[in-house]
Amino acid sequence: MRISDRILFDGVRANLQHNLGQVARVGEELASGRRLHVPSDDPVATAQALRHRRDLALNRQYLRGVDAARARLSAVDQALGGLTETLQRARELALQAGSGVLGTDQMQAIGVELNQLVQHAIQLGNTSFAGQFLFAGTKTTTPPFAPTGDPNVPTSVTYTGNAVAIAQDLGQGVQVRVDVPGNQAVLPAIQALIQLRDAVTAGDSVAATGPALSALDGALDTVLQVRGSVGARVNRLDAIGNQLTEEQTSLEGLRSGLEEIDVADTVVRLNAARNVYEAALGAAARAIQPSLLDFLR
Amino acid sequence: MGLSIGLDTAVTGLRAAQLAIDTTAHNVANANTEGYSRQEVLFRAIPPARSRWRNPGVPLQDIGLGVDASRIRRLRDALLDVQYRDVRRGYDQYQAEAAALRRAETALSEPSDLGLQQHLVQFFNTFRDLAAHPESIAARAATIEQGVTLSTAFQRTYALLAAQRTDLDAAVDVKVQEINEKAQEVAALNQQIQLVTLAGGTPNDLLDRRDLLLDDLAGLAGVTVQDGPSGAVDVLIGGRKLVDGVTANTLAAVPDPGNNNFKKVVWAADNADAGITAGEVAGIIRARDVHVTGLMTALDTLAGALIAAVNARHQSGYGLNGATGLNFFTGSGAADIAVNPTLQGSPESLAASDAPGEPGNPNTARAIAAVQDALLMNGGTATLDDYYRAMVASLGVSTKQAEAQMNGQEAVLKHIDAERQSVMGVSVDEEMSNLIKFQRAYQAAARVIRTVDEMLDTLINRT
Repeated sequence: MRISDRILFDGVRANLQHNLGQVARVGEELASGRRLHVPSDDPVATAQALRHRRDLALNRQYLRGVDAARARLSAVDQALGGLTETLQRARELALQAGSGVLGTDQMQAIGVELNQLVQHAIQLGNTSFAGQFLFAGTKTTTPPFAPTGDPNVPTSVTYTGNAVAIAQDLGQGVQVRVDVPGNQAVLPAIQALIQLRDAVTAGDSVAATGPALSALDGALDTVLQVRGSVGARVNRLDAIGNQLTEEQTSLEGLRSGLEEIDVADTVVRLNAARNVYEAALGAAARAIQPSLLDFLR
Repeated sequence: MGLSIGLDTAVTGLRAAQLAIDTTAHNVANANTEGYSRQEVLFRAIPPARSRWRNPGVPLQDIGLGVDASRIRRLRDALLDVQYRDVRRGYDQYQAEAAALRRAETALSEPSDLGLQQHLVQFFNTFRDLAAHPESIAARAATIEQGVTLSTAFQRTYALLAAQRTDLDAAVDVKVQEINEKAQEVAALNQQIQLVTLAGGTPNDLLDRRDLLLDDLAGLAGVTVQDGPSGAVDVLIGGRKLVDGVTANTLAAVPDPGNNNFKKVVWAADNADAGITAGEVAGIIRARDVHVTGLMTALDTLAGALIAAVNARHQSGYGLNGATGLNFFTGSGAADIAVNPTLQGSPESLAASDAPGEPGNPNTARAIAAVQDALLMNGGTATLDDYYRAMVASLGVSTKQAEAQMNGQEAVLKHIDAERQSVMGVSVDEEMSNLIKFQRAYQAAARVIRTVDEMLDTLINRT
């Protein structure tokens, strides 16, 4: 084949361009740390990376949800814990009042303390956390327990919340209930406390140890039961959270494996590309340089 | 035999050498001219005149009368030109397609945190946040804000693609003008070439210029070339003549009402479709009508499905203020999707609850978040995310394919061009050695003249 100057120069130019392009491409990968810049870099990997990105974002969101649900349920548990203590103290007072050996003054003093316990129980029932009344069902913006009569000595309470359950999604098809309806868990306790207070204030030690005490015991059982179920839900949240965290790690690994470079490998490839480019430069210099002109003197 | 004949013979050699040196100079000067074919002087020995045979005392063998150097030819292989143009049609087409596709890829900016998918996921995630705090005005405002961000992302991506489509449409116009100009130039060259050819000349440099134009026309419009009379050529698109001897026909880019009023290429004479199926123009039109339009349609479908699904759920829910039956999004597609201005003005109207008067009820917010996992696309077989991912992946595949086609054609094109250059390209080394060769020939011819002169001197002055 006859070699014209054009063939030589075009060939040298095309080869240098190609090799330099390779250096630039690998260099860009190394500089950006990313293997995928546009979908055509690897369409299949791009689709997979997009899927992992979506799953990761969802996963992070669900983890946030787990934290929020746990915070909410632990606020519920704390309030119910306070209620348990209140009921236990009331039970001690009921037993004292029911002994039948106390004078009217002492009975009255116990009545005052019981009234404070009633007010405390109403307060616990109206616990709000992060702007939500926890025992109001879905009517979370209004205090669910409204005392009637003298606010200092309420004669009864009305429950203004509802019994609609609140669930939170923590995965596709995974739901956890994050509320405790106040009419079930808290209302009987307040009513039992009022009943006991009224019996003691009336000096009726028989009623205090009889129906009032058994109502109190019933309310205490309910609260303990509900606390048990809240505890079980928190355990479930922990399990979900652990699983999500685990998935997070493996998804992150998959995503970075697809999108990001292996630095050691890329450095080696960059050096290889540079070597090829330098060799091409050397070859070009030797191929272009000599001409018959150099030898015609 | 007369001595002056020897003188005449020597003079033809002198002239021939001079002509050859001039041609060498022309070659060297054009060593880097695109499309230039190297030229060479054709030498032919002049046969002896008949009358000489009868001269007494002269032997019968012939002595010629020197060298004839009246023809200069260009070295070029017409078959390689045909092959080159064949490949050029495909190469320029795929190059145009690949360039448009690469631009479309940057418009989507995937995979990254800036792409549409990320906004879509964030949008549904804010509804999940809202479900945890449905009575919170802050959570509502954040949800509406994310809705605005998502709408803007849809609109921006769609607008980028629409702008690209407009650019491609404008490029059709520019390319058609370029084709017309080149066709006219070919027709003008045809005329000059015919004149020179009919006068018995060889218009080498005009032929080179015309061949370069024909290469470009093959790349632009995928033309084919037919030889005509007296060195003229006809240029054809789809069997119809763009250049017919010394006259050029004109193409025009006119709005096509059947295709969004985008430009189609027609013959200016009768508005008949030009039927360009190869070359850059075909690539541009394909990128415009298939690739970019396809992406825009897919985005539109995605946005439409999102709007319909979110609105249906939102309408059945209730706001903090009891508002119900409201749309979350206004608009019908990617071009005009926006968050309902009523909601933007009053976040309490956002419907998170599925019952009135229950501020803590998260069920509508949950239902909207669940749209992300609903099989809404492709006849109930794919989620919104799936659909978008498939769209991105298929864009990647199209781009990769167009680039692979382009690279394949480029390799063939380079190979054929190297073969062409092997025949037509100038080699400076070769020209230098020719220069020495012809310089020697000139010196030798001059030497012959001097010898004959000396002989004449001897004959005239010393006898």
